[in-house]
Amino acid sequence: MVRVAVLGASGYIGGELLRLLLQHPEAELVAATSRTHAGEYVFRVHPNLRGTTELKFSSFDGGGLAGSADLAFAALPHGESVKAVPQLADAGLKVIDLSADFRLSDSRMYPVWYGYDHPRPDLLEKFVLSIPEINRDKVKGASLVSSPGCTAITAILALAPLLKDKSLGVDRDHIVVDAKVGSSGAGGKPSLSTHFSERFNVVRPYKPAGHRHSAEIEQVLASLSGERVAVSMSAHAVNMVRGILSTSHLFVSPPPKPIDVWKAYRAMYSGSYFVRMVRDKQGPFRLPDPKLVIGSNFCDVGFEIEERTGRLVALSATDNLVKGAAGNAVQSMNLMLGLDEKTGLTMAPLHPV
Amino acid sequence: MNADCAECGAGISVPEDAIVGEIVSCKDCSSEYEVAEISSGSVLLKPAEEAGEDWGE
Repeated sequence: MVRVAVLGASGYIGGELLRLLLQHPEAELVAATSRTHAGEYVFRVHPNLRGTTELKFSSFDGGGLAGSADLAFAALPHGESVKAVPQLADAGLKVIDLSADFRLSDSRMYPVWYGYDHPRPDLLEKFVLSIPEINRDKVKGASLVSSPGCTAITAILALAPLLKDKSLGVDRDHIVVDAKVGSSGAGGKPSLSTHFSERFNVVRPYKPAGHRHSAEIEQVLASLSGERVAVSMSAHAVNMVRGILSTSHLFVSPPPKPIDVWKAYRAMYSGSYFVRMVRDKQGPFRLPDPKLVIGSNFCDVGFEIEERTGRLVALSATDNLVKGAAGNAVQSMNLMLGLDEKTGLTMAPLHPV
Repeated sequence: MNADCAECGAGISVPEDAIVGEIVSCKDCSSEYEVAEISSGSVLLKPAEEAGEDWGE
């Protein structure tokens, strides 16, 4: 058993980590930290966990965790994680960080995308941005791992095979990602924009240009293709609690045949349990839909081709809190510990939901 | 007997006792095929007719 701690455990991602780790056969949850809820039972903040644990939130104590835990998940806000994680890393704990603080490998990108100078650029090169379906060999044996943003990993899983397979001839300078995101993607802290009367029934463009996750997507795709890649991304808040649908537009001349696109996806994802190809000729769900992945670690991926304009539409759907965050992090932990990456994560999605 | 899906390239397993005219479908993409010919243990498939769907939108 590995002793695990969750930092920032009172948020939605923290709660999802607790849900997954409490039923993980190889993990013992030893601490769940929260600055604002220290001393409270975990199930008071995450009522879905009532009856599953008697654990109480505790204050963050880096020195104490170094002696009581083997691995820590950090689900802290951007800018806070970078203060806590170095203590744990320096003490020798394995760390999986779910904030943006260790995702970008180039420290010069932090002032550009996040508005601050990174205080520990030396640590950036030690972190592996984990997308197991793309770089599981690097994640195995890593001690410091970061997990991508939810919209980033969803878009990347649809795009990566198309950029890696150069025979498709994708235009690397014109890639457009359009993401629809459920309300839990905004986190657990309420605001006027998340107030029910303002949030319910919206299709709200909340970052039509300059979305921060563009940087992660470009970083991963450039690494795979060996060339600069330019990604334009727009995000919309839609009327879901969980879920992301990413619709990406790529331009290819001449347009490929469907069988060639299938081959590109199979070349990358055959053997990857958590990526499911969905391009069905029958039924109401012919392409990925977040409705069919809720509660699971699956990412459904599909595509369509518009021959007239040379447009290749790549679609992907995740539960933003599972494959988009906590599930991908637990999958990464499994790899770091030498376990089967599916351990504790094989639950089927809910349906209907 | 085995054949390949012309749409997505996946393998399609056709029952040994299949008969000409029988409809088989691809596990990966649900494309439907009609068994057109069987000879010496090999099978020839042709696309089955299908109705388009626009969901009325």
